[in-house]
Amino acid sequence: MTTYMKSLGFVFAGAIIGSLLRILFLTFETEYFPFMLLLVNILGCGYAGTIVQFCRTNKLSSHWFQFHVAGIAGGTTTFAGFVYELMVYGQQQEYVYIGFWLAATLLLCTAGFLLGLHVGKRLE
Amino acid sequence: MMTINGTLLLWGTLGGGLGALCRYTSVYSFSRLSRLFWLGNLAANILGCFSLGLFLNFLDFDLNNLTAAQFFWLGAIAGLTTLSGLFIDGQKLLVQGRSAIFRFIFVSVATGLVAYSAGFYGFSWLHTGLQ
Repeated sequence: MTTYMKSLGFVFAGAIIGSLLRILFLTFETEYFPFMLLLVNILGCGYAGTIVQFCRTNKLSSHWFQFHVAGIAGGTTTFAGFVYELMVYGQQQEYVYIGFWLAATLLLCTAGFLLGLHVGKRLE
Repeated sequence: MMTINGTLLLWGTLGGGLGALCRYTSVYSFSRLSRLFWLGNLAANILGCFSLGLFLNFLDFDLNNLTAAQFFWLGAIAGLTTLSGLFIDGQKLLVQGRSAIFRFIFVSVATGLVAYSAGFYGFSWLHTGLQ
């Protein structure tokens, strides 16, 4: 089995877990603001940051790295959901919400990723 | 609020897994073809946003009932696109300076919006033009 094929299996398994987490969180979504979508994106970015930092000094095989990063973190977060909300606010001409959603997602996901890097450093 | 059930979990997670496979294939292929490592995730995000726009216009669906919506929207398209990959690529771009990250995020968001609009409005335009 080639390395690529083996990685696909690990990514698939991780993405099943990530997607499950995302769907479970999204079932608690409110009508007024997509807090749960924001939360899963922050958590996914934080998890990705933790694994990326942890793997700098600790030996984790590339398959397991892909399982965690491309699978679990990638499956949990969604860029399409973020863009969809932007477009919905745009169609409703809710410009304040556009700015708020854009800033909240980018700033909080950056903060989540940086916090993940910090946690990963602690775990080293 | 969505109602959680076995069908939603089955189709959503299966779609998510398949979407992630496409994303990983995109990242793997672009990393072998080009030195621009960030192209893989960017291409996956653009394709996902375009598909979403097309899909939302093509099908008027109810998330609780339609299996196709659960599979494509909550599963495959969400699994294909990624925000965490965007930040990982952004972090790798730090060696090129902070402005490279801002440019990369701006390009990612802008292309995502354009791709979604192209899928959503392009389908309407094409459909009207053909009639």
